[in-house]
Amino acid sequence: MSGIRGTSSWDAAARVAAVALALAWGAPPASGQVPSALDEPSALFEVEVDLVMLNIAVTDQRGRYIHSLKPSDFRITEDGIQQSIASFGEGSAAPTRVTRIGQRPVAAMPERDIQLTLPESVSGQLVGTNVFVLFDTSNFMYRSLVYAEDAIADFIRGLDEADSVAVYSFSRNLTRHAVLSDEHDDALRGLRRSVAGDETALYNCLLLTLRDAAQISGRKVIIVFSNGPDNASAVSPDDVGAIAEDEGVPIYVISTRELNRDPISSNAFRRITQRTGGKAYFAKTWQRQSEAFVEIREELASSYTLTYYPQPNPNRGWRSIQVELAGPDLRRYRVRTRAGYRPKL
Amino acid sequence: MRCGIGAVTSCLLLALLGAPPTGATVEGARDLERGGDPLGAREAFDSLAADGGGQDGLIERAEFLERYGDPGAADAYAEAVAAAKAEGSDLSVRLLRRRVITALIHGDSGAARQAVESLGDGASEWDLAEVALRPPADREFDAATVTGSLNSFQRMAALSTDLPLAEILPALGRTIFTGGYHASRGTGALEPTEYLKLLKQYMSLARELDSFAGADRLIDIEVCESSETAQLLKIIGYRLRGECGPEAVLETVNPSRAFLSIDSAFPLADLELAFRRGEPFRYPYQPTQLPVLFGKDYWYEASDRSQDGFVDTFVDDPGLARLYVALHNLHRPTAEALRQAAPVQRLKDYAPVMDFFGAMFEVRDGAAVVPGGARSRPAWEKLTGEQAAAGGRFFQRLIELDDGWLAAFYDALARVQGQRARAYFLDPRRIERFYAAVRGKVTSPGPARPIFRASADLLLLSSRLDFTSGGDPRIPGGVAPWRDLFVKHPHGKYDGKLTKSAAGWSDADDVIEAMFALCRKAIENEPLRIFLAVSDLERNRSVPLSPETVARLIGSYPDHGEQFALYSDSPDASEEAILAHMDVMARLDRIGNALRRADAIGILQAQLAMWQVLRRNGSIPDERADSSLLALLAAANDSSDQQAIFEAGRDGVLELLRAAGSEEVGTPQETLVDLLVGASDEGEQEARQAVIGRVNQLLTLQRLVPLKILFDLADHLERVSRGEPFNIAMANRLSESISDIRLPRSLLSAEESNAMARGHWVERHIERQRNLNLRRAVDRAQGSPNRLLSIRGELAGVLRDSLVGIVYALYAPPGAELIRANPLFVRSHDFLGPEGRYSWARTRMQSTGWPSSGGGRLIGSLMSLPYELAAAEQNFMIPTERQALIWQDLAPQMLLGATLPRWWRLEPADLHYVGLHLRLAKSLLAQSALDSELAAIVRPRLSGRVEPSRVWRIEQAFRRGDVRAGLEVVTPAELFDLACRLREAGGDWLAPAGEPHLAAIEDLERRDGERFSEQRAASRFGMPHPRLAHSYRLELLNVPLFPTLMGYSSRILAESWESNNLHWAALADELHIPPEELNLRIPEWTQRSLERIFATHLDDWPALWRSLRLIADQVRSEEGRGKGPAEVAKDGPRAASGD
Repeated sequence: MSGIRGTSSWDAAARVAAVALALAWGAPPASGQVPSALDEPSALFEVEVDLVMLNIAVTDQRGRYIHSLKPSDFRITEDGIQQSIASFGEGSAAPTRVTRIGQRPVAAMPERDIQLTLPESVSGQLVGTNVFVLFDTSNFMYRSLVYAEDAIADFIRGLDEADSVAVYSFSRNLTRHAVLSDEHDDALRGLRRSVAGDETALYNCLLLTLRDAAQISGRKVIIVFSNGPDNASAVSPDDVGAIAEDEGVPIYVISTRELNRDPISSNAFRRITQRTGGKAYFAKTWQRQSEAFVEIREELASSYTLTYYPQPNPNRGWRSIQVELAGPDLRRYRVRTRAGYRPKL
Repeated sequence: MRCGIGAVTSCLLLALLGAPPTGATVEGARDLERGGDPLGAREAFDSLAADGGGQDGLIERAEFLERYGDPGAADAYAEAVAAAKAEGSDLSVRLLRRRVITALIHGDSGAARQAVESLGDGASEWDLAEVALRPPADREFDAATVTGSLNSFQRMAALSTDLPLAEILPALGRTIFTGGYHASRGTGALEPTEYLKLLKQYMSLARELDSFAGADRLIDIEVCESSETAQLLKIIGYRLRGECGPEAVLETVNPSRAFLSIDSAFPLADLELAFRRGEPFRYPYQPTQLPVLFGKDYWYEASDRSQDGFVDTFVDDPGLARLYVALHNLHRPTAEALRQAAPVQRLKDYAPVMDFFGAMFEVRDGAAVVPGGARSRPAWEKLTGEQAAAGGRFFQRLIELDDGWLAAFYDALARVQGQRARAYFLDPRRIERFYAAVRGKVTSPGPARPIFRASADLLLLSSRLDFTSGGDPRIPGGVAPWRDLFVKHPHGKYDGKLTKSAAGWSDADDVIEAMFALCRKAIENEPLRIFLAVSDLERNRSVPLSPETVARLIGSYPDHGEQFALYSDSPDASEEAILAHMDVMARLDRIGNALRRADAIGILQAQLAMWQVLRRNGSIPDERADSSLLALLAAANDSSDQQAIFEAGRDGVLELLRAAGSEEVGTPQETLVDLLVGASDEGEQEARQAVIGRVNQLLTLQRLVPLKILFDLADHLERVSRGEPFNIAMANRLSESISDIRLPRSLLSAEESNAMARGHWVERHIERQRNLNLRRAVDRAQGSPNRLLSIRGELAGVLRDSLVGIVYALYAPPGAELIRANPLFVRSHDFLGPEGRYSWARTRMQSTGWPSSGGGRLIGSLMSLPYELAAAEQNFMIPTERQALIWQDLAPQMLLGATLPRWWRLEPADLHYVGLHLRLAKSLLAQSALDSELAAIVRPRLSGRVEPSRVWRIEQAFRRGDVRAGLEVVTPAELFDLACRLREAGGDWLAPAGEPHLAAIEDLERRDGERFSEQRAASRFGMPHPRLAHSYRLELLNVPLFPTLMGYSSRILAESWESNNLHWAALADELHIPPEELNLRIPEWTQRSLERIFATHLDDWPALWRSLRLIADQVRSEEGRGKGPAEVAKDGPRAASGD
């Protein structure tokens, strides 16, 4: 699950993050009084702060992205319970808060009940996407490493300025070549610092990347570029997929192997991407790989980010999420997002 | 200000007065320290100094800072000297001397020089000072040239960039002969590996770039649109897509060259950026000169000279590379003597022997220094046929004889520690007798044939043999059981000749001789394994084991030997308990139903693991130890059905609680976890709650059913059997807890199902819990009290997981990613393993690297769970350097040492006691750099523990005035041992030379001799040694650092590294970190150290030690002390020359 819960057992740091994000989506900034808000947590936590974020791709029958939908076009249910959309955004644009009378930009909303300033660092994170690129430098990728790097470099160059990007690689262990930053040149430098490795522990390293991504507020995705076979991980793809689903992080996979060459990995890629609302691409040639990156970039620019505070729900286990488009004209479109999540215990 | 234990009064006082204290007095500061508040004492001393302080205050402050290892001590002494002079005191000489020593220890030789000059005649007894404090001069050396960026070369050659220049060629040499060549399948001839091919291709590319860079060694592209651009891009394998300017993009055109460019870290992104921005691109391409041992010409005599230079010659000849490594790692005067004694080509033939077994060779004053000295010399001379006085020739003979067996034997005996062991093994008659056993009749194949050292057995036998107070080797149970071990294998299972001779064995030497004889066998040396395991089991027992029990243990070892650690940890366990344990294990093995067997074994093992922890942390007192153990075993004896297993599990938990003195059984899990975490003092609650909170969080993530729910339900079912209505709400509590359990995987494809057939799933165990429906079971059993009672048996598997989960959570390493990520990790523990043969075997990981599985899971017993959890976790570490972790045994052993101990109820003085010893040793070593008389006392003790080649490096560093670099060659465990041994030796010299540390140590010992002792410090800040000592008890074995050995025995290297917790304790003492925080900090510091290790090869333990120091510097910086990481990095390893 993305983000935030309001319980009395929170530590101070978690509270600050919660305040920041709750405000980002639900409350206006005013003069800076964070300390006073923390002094009075009861006032702060009068509202439900379990925020669920969904990245939603809407496509037509031919896979083309549908733009310019409105919040009222979406109907979200969780375990069958209708939810109210709290905020709405398309692509890298700044999100807007959804009210009964329509949408308002977060920054322009009137003062209501909480007097806090949204820290600039947090505000910045809500615009654009936080992209974690995780690429395979194991010996399986040895022959295609240079082309992979070229394709990833093209992808980074083409990202929206508002997007932040981190570049990680993996073989037996994870390496953080460039930490998350909107300085895309740093990411390119990090990318070009990679070094060929040995064994492949894709799922271990994907899990570690998820742990990093989970600490970031705002919209985030992980893009895995891999040859496929994993010979060293101790965690299963499905456990990693479950965590990504819970954290609300879509995973995209570009596999440099053909679908039928490694059915076990291919199935794992499909499962993990489907359940998180991402997508798997099987692209053997570097041209296909570049196309896959272009498609992912287009999806990032075209997909919708919706948040909601869940209605009371006694289910402490897995909660299913259904997103439908309202209105007869829209029902023909395909909607892709995560299938559900498990609240943190 | 931090308030530690015993410091409450001081802290309250200071809090009332306000901090920093004003009007502080020397006595007040002393009281603060004695009261357990060293930070308060520091503030008081600082306050005194700020107020002018007076001579006494300034002296005490300087000594305080020195005792706590503060780099500010040298300046503090300078202030004290000024005050002493101002007051006309005669203390200035003593203070100036301390200033010299503290400045040297902290690497400020300039300040030390200045202080020595101020001392004038006061430094007259420092006869070595002139040499040691001479400003460093540039040294000339014959050099090999590395073309282009050294960093790129090191990347391509898989070398750590932390290496000092003098260590690069030896590191390269090791990488070349271990990973540069492999034998051709057809001819067996050596062929270059992919690694070496890439390295050579890179060296060729670097030459092209060097040529492009020109005489000024600068790759300089002024403008994008130029012929130079095209030329450079062609070399590095790229082309421009798009025009120069904002759209310029570099893309691969020649993948081979492009790969080399990327892999060697050519700054491609900067080049592209320069093209896009229209800026010039400049990349310095200076070569690096690497010092060559003995000069290049020496090596050219043994190899075909490459026209491309020395490095090319080096990588083309693995034999030469190995000789270089061997001679470089030798005690340098010995290497020189060998060089004089034999031509290089001849030495090259024996390079592997020297490489493996040369570390203990030493030529001093032209003669070989042999193990055992004058008493043993004739034996060694007889074996080699050469006089020790011949120096180099003696060692030449040693390496040439018997395919290396004599050198291997010599190496093992030269490492023997302790008076009794030396007296025994180095007896001349035994040297000859035992060597004859090792040598046998046929010496080929020799022990130096493989790339990695083959056997640890010689080292293990010579370092781990236990002795009686009379100096005889301790043979558990006497000779008879060991004779039977050989005789009862009439077909010569181990060795036909030994089987025959065993019948005539009469004394300990006969047994030890047989053990030596088996050391040269290429096969698993089972008798030695058994012998060492049983020896460790008996080592600390007050009453020796009976021959019958030893015989039983010997017979049981193949199946149950892993469990012996339980008794090594608890030497007061009775023989009755040991025998009962073996009976129970055998009985449980006979349970036919696999699921029931797994439940019974899992529950018993979890309870024994908890008993072990509760004994280790003192929660179960000595008087309850044996009875509680017997009660657990008795309960487990009845495993006739599931219900009995559940009852045994519940009774066992209650027994553990009772044995630990807890009457609180209303919340059994909370009480149990509380006890297992260990008893602590009032002031430690915050740290303690953090530890408990972590355990509970992991239990929650595993969705394990709390014990209270299970026990309440069992009680309720009993009442239901007596007619009470079934409470559905209670059943629902259980079903809520387990309803969320999912099978390891969701839908399987056909391919995956097929692939999974190789695994041994625990699905049925999990499925059984998923299908558990108590309500239905009660409905079906209505009317039958017995059937209602038996429903409790359904809970046995759930109880097993809850108990096993507690042990997992207790031993979880930092991060604990597997437990956090896989909610079925605990439930997936397989207590049977393939063919059901792993129930009592060591824990091991299975199903990793298998995406269609449910993730890795552990199989086997819980005895080695702490190690295996740590081993599984190491792949979730994120190296801060580009090279992945390479020590598969070192990392888990270090994590084990950080997660297994608990540091409660310690005083800051307990840390100080350790810190003082390390600093005393450093201080004495530093003084020995200046004073030859002191050196004559200190160095022999150092040589007893540290191999000659390292002692030589220390001496060399001292001679060039780099005392800090010399001290960094000695590990914390060696420093601690050295301080203890020097104190043991005593003498008039000690008190003045040992100030101010010695007085503080003695003060503590006077306060509480039992608490402040070497033994107690070892039991708190030592390391567990599950392989070396068959025990998880913390201790310092004081064994030498073992070399890397093949197979499991690379764990021996890891376990011989005993320095971590001593290092962290001294750091915490220096920074006045409350001891209870070590429970949280040491795991974190250890993980950071592991992630920072940048090693080149398996024997590169200096990389580990470097990493520990770097993290300590980072912690100092984070705590607002010392240098920041950037400054630390600036000092860098390059500054420290290896020679």
